[in-house]
Amino acid sequence: MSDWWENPYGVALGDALTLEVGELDFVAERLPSEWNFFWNYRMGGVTQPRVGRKTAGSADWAHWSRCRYPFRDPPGSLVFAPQLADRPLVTKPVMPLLVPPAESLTLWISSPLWCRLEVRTEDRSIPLDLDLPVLRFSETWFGPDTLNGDLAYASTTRARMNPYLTRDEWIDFRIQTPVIIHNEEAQVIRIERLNLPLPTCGLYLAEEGLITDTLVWHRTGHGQKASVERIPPVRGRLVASPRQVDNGSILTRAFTRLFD
Amino acid sequence: MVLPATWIDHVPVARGISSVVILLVGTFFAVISARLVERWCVARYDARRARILRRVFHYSAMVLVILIALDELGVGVGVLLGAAGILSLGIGFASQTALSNIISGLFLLGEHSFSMGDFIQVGSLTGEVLAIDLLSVKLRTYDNLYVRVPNETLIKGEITNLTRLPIRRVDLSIGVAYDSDLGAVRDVLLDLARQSSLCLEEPAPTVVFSKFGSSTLDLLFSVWIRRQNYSLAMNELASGVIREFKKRGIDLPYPQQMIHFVATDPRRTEKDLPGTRSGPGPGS
Repeated sequence: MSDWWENPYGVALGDALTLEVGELDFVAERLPSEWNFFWNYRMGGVTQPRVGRKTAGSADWAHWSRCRYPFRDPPGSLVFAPQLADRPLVTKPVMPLLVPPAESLTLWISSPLWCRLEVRTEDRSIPLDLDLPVLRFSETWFGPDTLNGDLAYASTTRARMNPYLTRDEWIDFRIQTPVIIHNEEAQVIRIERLNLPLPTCGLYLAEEGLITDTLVWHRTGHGQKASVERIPPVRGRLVASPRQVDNGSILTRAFTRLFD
Repeated sequence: MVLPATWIDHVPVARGISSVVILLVGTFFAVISARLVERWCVARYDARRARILRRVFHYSAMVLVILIALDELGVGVGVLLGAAGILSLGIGFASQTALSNIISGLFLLGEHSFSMGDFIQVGSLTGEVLAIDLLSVKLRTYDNLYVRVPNETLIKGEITNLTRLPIRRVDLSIGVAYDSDLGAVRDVLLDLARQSSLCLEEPAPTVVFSKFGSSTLDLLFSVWIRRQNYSLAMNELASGVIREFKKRGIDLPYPQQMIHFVATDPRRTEKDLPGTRSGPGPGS
């Protein structure tokens, strides 16, 4: 069910559309003059995407987080538009990663999908400001000290070298970011944390699944500054534009703080 | 009746008109240029500095325009400036506090310790900065009181800006019973921080032994949070500590006093009890 986020779902008046994905339980009710949305995060265990239909007004989700959008004539269908995280993701390799001199490698780092709700009529799409991650994140601070830095989401990564995930690796709601590291220095680089500037990346559907722009980092040494590039995938369809426009400073900041 | 001739009677009409024109045109340019200065400052600094600099520029320009207009009228500007100097000396003595506040305001402006919308703590006051003026800063306290704090007080005292930095540390002082396993207590607290969505992973939470209290072993449990979550985190952590300690049988003792009763022979008098001196002192 890899296209669960792309298909519009028609919802009849008085009906509710339910979605279970990752840790997220979500319900959308279409009523005569409004759309009501309810969501909750389950404790323990993640699920593959599962869409269902129920009758609106159930007490099962009455105590969840909720919001309502009034419409003169509520549009008939709903889309879960895919998005990247709204903040950078700081991820720690499970095992410390050491890049030998004169070595280049590509790491594939995963991050969970976010869904931005859109309601659709036959001729137009209305984006709503409800934007939910399918997994809950903890937060962290990324910076040289507590005065300078940015708030980011925190995660751990296995920093795989292979882009292809298996079914039990939640391929349907994981986004992968390829990070290419060129170590042109004469010494080993120790990677303890990676900061992915996800809000400034585009999201694409490619052969490997949902992927972002490739982040390329060159470390040349000899007192020269590291160069950082962001490259869109060669083959892949853009499914979500970056949330933020970056003039280069965010990317450079993210990577210059990477290594000691 | 013949009125005495004054200096105004000797001013030609043309000079009077040109003086009025200087005044009008000068005022116009002072206003326009002050606005341009403000716009230039907003782009480089912030709205507060820009507003104050606009005022300073506007008043200076107006003084200059008035002096030129008076000069055109034939009024001796030198004499006027001398008189103004003496007058300002008098006014200065009479308004020392106001001047001190203005100068303090300029220093505060230069320091940029806080800006409008920040929450600051000054002495026993905590509130949101509503306005920063030449003489005072206006605050709205948490209980919605409007407080005017003179700039002089701010420059002399200690100001804590609660909203300058995006993250802050929350410290919980916790006392556990003397027979507690400190390692287990530490694990429980760190797990609590790890499970809370409000606590940041980095900087990492810490548990530090602080002292042997009168009834408890005192620990300092510190976690880092986003500053907006301060009250939420305090409540969540306090209730979490009580819940988890109860679940794991870790005692949070009340203050206690231990009294030892010693069985004694009723025939012995008070002076025979241990610790009381009996018989003649060493000096006798």
